[in-house]
Amino acid sequence: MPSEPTSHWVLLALSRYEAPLLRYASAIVGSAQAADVVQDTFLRLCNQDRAAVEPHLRAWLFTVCRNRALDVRRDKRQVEPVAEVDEVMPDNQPGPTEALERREAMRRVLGALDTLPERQREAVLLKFSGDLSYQEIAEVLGTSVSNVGFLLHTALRALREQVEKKDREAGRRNR
Amino acid sequence: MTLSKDDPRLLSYVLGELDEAESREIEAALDGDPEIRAEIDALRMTAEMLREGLAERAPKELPAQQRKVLEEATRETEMPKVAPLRRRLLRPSWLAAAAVALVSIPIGVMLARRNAEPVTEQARKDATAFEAPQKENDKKKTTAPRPKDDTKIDDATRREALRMLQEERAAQGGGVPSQIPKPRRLTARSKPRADENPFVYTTSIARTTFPLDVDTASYSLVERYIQEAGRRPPKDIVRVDELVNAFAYEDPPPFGDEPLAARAEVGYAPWTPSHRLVRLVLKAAPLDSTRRPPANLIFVIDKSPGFAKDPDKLPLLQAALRRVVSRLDAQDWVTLIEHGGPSQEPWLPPTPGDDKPRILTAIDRFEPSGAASPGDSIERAFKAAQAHFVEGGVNRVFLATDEQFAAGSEQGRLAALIRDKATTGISLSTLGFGPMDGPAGQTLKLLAEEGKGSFAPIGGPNDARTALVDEALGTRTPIARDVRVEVDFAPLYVRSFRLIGNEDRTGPEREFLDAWKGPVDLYAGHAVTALYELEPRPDTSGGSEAPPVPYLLTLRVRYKDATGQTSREIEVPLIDDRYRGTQSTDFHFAASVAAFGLLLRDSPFKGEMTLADVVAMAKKSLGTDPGGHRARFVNLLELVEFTPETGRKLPPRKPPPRKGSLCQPGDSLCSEL
Repeated sequence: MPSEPTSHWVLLALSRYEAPLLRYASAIVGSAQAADVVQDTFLRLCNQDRAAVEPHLRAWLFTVCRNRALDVRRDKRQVEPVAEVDEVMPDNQPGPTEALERREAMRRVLGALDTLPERQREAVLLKFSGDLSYQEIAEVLGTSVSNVGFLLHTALRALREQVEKKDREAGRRNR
Repeated sequence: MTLSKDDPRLLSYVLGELDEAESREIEAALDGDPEIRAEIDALRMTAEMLREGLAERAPKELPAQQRKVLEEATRETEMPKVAPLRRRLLRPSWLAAAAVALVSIPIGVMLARRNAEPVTEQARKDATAFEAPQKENDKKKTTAPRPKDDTKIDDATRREALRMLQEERAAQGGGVPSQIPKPRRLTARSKPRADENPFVYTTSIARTTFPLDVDTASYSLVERYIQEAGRRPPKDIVRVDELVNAFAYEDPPPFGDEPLAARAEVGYAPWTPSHRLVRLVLKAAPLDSTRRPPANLIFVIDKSPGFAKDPDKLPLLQAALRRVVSRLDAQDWVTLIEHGGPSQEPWLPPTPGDDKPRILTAIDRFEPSGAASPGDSIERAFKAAQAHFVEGGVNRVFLATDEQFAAGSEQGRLAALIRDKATTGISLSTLGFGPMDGPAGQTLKLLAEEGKGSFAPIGGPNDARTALVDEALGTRTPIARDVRVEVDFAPLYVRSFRLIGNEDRTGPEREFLDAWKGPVDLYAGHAVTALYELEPRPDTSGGSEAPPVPYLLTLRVRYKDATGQTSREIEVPLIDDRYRGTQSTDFHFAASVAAFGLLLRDSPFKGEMTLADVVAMAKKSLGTDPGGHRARFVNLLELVEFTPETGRKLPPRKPPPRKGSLCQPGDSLCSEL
């Protein structure tokens, strides 16, 4: 059986993975073009042999999505900053101080994301937007599981350092 | 163990990438070291912010237009290839790829008629229309004589399938559930290979293992194919291991205090008499309601008037809670928290289980009020759970609510919180009162998955009692942890062996599914049966001397007790005692089920076996058959004799009678939903 006449498995895959893929693609090409990239990913899935793809479905989807997204980005010849945060998260949102501080911290972490080396940034995106396992990230990026662990470890440390640095700077300015 | 706070394993731990042994190591180190603990907290915080931040700025689902294109593409995969495309992103270099990928979209169908209708509704209609001619064919084929009373189907199976479909429908409509990444589940099995596991020579491999996380889905599918659609199931949905494990066996329970018992039996392989069939069983102790682990139970109860006033909601819950309380004692803790109430204080602060008057009063006086955010009450519930955490016991938060439940924008954060708490040993179960086929049911189910608990839709008093009493009082506490099995064959007597069934879990390309090889937790009442076919080594002793003891294999089970502290081992050697005919009824019954599976799969190993042989064998080994389950199996076998074989070219698309079904039988994605 090459493929079922009605490829509902693709729809099932869609219902499960569309949100993580959109998160992931948005971080690379921006939210406006993410939908196109994700659509394209699933269109390609339609043409795959289910038995071959399904054992590593998530890794497959993210690999294809990544390639599409990088194509688009290359075409635009500019890196979409991950932190379009300002439009999405207005600073003057009402709310308790704690929530505000949290949002501020989040904004900084996302901002710092763009300062990471490419590989680290990719690993972080796959992990935190797609929730891929180390094994799957390794598959997508074509590296080893232990290297994924190392990339993420280094990336998170760098992110925190960046955020703390900005915290200190902000503290100095306030004084 | 000393750990540097710069150890990459800390992050792996936070992200759930360590296995249980490694996690324990980290937890041990973490207890004694505030610096490490702070580091872990900071990592969690960063991870959470990244998850949340990345989620916030992305669209949650595809725009309707693009979704529609996709739905068309999935439906039309087999149609002639015409590729008129509407897309924003057309670039020359993409065109070729797109033309291949998007196989066809008949223009008229795509744009003309459906703008007004919700996508899922349309998908359902399309599927129904698509199915109609197929149905006609089915009818023609099933005119063969069939015993009337055999066509009834297990209602539970049907309900389950129905619920699955509804949930899936809801998932497609709302797009909500995909916000929470699902934990990978072992039941997500890939399509089994059509070919069977081969015989393995003991000279190359003498040690093996078998999966303990048995599923039984294949049996109900096979049953439905035969009974409802009147045809033999396609080979690849027949999983012999699942068929065998769909039945209850009467093996002796563990002796004394032991949580586990292992058993090994051998006899002729009915399909190839020169071979042996080995039945290996692992059985966990049945649930003992008098001896149970201490419980620390937090009930988060919906306080909206809609919930409290409906006789099928709060009153049901109260009745079940009273029953739970009646079984508690001083070692247990109960907390009640209002969900949706304005108060920050728990309705009932953590109270020891023997203070029954106080708990019962609090349960009875529970009454409706205003509304607040869901996340808040759950957070408070976790705090209460942490405060009276019982080691080695049940630490569980129950969220009882109805179809009005919505986590809204909180869902991502809530899920992260729940996931996080689940790693510390506090689980979350959800109880859904009222119709649960909408987004509320979906959300509750997902939250329970994150919380390593279970989701129970509550339709009546029985549901409420089972869900609460069993869950709260320890049915769901593993009684043996990190269970691993090893089977060592003796090459001296065994030339080769073959694991029957489990085709999709073996072989190099299944690496991703090999999680089953890792340790598994077993719960009270759990039982696993594995069957091996052995090819004995021909007797070369010449017969002059007394033959040595024909020792075939050793089954070794290693596990830790419920606390996870003490490791234990069971060792069962198996001697070839085929001549003595000491096999249990269970052995013969399991053999007949396996033989049936091999026949359905048209396995190259099915030997001389015929369906009539299987029927005879099954009939002789019904045993006491408490639920009449085995008798139904015999009925099923007899029904198969009237059943045409499934053609190779045209696999039945929709054997279940439901119209508009999006789920193919044997669909692992479906079975996971």
